[in-house]
Amino acid sequence: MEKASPLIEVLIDNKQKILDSKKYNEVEFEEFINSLMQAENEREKVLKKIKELGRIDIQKLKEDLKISEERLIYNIEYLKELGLLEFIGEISEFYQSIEEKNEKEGLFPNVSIIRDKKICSGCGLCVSICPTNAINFLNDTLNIDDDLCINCGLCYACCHRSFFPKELKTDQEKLDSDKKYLKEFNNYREIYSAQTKDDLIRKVAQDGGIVTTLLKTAFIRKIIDAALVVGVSEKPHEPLPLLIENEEDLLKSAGTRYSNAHALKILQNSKKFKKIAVVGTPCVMEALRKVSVYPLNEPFYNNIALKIGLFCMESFDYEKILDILKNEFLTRRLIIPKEIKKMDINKGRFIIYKNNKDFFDIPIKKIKKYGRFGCFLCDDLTSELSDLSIGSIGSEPGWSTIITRTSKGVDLFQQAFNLKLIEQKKIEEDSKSFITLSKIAKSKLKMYKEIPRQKMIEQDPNVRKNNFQEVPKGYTLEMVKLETQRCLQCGNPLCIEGCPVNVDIPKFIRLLRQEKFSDAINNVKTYNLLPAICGRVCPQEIQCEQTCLLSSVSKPIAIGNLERFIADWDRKSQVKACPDCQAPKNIKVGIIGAGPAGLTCAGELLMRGYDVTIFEAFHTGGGVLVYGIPEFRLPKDIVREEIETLKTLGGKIEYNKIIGKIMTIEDLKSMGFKAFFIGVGAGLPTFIIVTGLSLNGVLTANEFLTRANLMKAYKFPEYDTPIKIGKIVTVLGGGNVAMDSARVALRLGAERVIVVYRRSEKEMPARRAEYHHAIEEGIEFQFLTNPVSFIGDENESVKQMEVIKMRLGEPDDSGRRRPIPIEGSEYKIETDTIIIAIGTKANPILTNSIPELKLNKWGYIETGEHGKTNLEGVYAGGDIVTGSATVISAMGAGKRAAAEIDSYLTEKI
Amino acid sequence: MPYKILEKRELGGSGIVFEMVLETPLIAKKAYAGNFVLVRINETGERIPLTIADYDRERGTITIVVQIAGKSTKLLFHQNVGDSILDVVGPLGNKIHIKKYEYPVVIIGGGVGIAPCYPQAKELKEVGNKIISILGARNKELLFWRDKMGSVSDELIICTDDGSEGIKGVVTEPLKDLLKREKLSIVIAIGPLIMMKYVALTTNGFDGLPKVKTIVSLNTIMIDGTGMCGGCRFPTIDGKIGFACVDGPDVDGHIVDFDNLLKRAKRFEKQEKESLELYDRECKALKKFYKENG
Repeated sequence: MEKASPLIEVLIDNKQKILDSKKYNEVEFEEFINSLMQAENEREKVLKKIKELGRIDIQKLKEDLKISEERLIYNIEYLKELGLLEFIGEISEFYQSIEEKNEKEGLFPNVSIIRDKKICSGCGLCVSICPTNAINFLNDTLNIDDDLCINCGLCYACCHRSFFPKELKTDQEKLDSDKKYLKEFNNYREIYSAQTKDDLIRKVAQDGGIVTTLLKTAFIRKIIDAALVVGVSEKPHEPLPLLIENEEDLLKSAGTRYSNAHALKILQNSKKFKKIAVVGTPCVMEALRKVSVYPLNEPFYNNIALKIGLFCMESFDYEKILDILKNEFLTRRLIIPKEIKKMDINKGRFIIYKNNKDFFDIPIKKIKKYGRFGCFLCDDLTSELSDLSIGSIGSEPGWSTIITRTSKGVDLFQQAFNLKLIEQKKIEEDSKSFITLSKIAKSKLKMYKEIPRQKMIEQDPNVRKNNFQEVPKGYTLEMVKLETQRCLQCGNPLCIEGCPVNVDIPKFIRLLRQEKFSDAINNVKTYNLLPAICGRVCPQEIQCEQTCLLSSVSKPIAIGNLERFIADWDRKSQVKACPDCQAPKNIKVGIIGAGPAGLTCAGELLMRGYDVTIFEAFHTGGGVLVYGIPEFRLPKDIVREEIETLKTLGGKIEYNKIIGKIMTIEDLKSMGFKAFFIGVGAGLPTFIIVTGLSLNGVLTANEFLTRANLMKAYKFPEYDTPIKIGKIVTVLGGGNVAMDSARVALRLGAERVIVVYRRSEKEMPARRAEYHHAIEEGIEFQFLTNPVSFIGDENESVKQMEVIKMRLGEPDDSGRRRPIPIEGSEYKIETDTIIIAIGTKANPILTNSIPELKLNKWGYIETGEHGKTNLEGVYAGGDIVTGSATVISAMGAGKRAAAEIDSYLTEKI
Repeated sequence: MPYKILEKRELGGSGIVFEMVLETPLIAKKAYAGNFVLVRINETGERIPLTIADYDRERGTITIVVQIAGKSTKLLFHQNVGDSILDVVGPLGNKIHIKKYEYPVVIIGGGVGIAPCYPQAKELKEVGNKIISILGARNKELLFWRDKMGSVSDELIICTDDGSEGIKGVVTEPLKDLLKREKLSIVIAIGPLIMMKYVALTTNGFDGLPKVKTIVSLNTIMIDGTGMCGGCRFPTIDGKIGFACVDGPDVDGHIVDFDNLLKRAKRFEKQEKESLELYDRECKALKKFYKENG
């Protein structure tokens, strides 16, 4: 016998645990292991051959191994998913992105990952598959008992959401001339509208009573001996999957359930039946399809005789159904679940019936937000992988639509007709019904599998490293068309939660998709007055794009790039989008600091009709946007334009005014200012305490970038501010400021630029795009390295930096693993310029001038949730409250504070 | 809002030191001895720190005294009454601590550093201190404000390197005499780094002389003047770091590592020279153009 695979090994090792759980008896266990071993051996053979060939050659594999092409493909997909084909560059993107891999190589992890990535469809199959009964559903969420779990990964292998080769979708039966294909329906034969003729069924049925009638037919004709259907528990409308053994019991299950039933969790109990029918939603059908191939290379359950698929737009967790009733209907009329006879979705409305006459309805879009996350990814309306599919869409009330797909399905339908149990009429391809059905099915199609995330065109790294022009050139219209199609338009969009100012992202993407550009920009500006800036500098990958549901299965939608596109479109258009302003209130509000927080707060207050004056210390506005962020990342024209917008709204800006020096808040109060927002940032540099800090050639990123950006030293001697750049520049730090410094140094003519960071690549807080751009431009990185001392020459100019290697220990307060020096690993780096970019802290100039203002121990201003300080009428936000953070979080704080200032002043005056 | 030049006059006979009175009502209102402003002359200009040499709250003006040293100071010199300066930011830095000392206060001004001594002497005099002023320069052409300083001093000592006026020698010579002569409360020195270094050494209790608290005024390279860039930082002898802009400009002379500062001050020497040469060429070309075109 050949060597047991890791999967067989883990199962045999845990044999007792498996037998104890009573899913398999001794004999069944042996049988299971034997068939699994055959499949595993076949995969092992395929892998070995691929290793020999050094590539995937289906023809050759077919000839040498005598395995059918279909099976070869399924085996190869399986191996690829396991990461075993990485050596020839075949990588599964999804599996690669999983951090919690199985400790043992050659095994999948368990399905907790599917749950955590919010992509679980709730089909319930894993509950049946698990050999130790470790999986169950609690409140519609799958739960894994760690004590029972043996980490065999069978659940993951069977899960239709972990991987699902496209070949599984295309054909479950050989092609014949009766078969038709439409992208939105997949393979089908005919479509009918039908109605039961059975009076008993008609009484309890939702629409045409067709599912029940077909099951009855199947029982009569002995096609099945049991049916897995969904009935209800004692709790009203709580679904309960059941196995029905005779046609009499069928009536119990009639009617549609919109809540998730995890129907397949009882599939295991069907072993005692020889021929069962499964009635279920598209995800249930998809799961059955997957398990017909994986992991045994043959059906895991060989007693499935009939698959009746249901149309499904989306399903709801039971709790959410109750929420819908409570939140969406309660206000209109008291409805308790018990009183509801049935629920229906038809003609774009969600309808609940108290009886046949009394009903209430609301638009479907109102209930979308209650949908299950896993459902937002689904692109199957009509249960494509069934023998026949049934639903109400496309038929008159009291009728059901039927799509026959396989010969089995065609036969059953014919039998029911022959038994005179149904009345039917064909739906022709040119009929209104057909068009409605295909339109709705099409609306459920998802494009993210076909369309890759669109990349912006960028300046060539070799060219751009010598200039200060912007790196990415933005999206073309064509790219916008493609990218917007990738958006899932989730009912409960996580991206909005990920955005610090809660931009209605799906809405503006939808408007972009419809090419309603001015509506789109107006929508964005309702939430965010500075979209051209945010589209460029927000760390989308840890905000909206991180929470985007697509990121669970593919690359997230490029929200930042789309925001940038629409903002730039607006900048170029003649009439700039300008939100509606309220009538002037003639109440003066002072904003201290013209950075992201202050500008946003000013904008919000201007829209509310306040008389706003911004006081700025520098000779130009924008704060970190102008002194910190370089031109090639954020053209300064954009900042200037955004400030111009504020001026057109009536805002005033006073440059060269350091509040706390030239004027105090008290002075401003006596000038009539009624409220203040402090957004002065965290401008003070942090130094690393090593010897040699005062050597020439050692400078802070603040100085370096302020010279280069604000004072335009890159244009010296046209501009008077000088900047000195050495041959080998080292930058200390791993954030955006470090990336900016490194890339500016390169553009100013440094021969080599080395970024020295004490943690590893993974912990780097820099925006990913900037890191990649830096690498493309040839910036070098030395991770897990920390400076020990700066060494100077006889002129007190730096010539070397001594560093020490670090390793990562336990996570610290920030959640990142703490770097620990490795003793004796010191070495020297030749360098003549050292730029320190390891963070900033609070600048006390303003706060010192207001001694009664409450600060925390680091000198940051203490505020309530909405920026309220301990002083009446004084609000604060941005880095001076939080410490160094992002542009967008500062903007969020400015926005919230503006609302708070508004309500304070409204109440007071 | 640009800042108008109301007065301009050359000081002394050197032709390279001049004073300007600027219309800056808000700054004038808050200015005190020890404060400085950052000046950016025009759109392409750099930000240069200049100490406030006098202020008139009622008229809404401040006075700056500048010695031509590089392009920016030369460009400033080329501005005339009625012209405007693009940006003036201030008052920055800490004002000096004004109190009545037990013993006399010695104020030492070297070269253009004489100017910022004036408001210090004036404010200290107003609270009843005995002021002994020492004014030093390379030669008598570089001396100025003798009368102005005299009006706020109880004793005025003048020295020049070449002996063209007053005592021949550097300012530490009369300082040593004073240290030997009487008990002093505090010494304030404003001038070139090298002068301040030696003043601080003289008062540090060596050679049998008494140790006297000494304040020096650092005029380092700056950008923002608010503690942000760290360009003005100076190491202290105990290994700490100070910022001239927010910890100073007036700091304890006995803790400053002058040797390092002397080298830091020269870090843009090459660029400064390049910039000045370019400007001189432009000026020459312009002059020629005006000559040829009337």
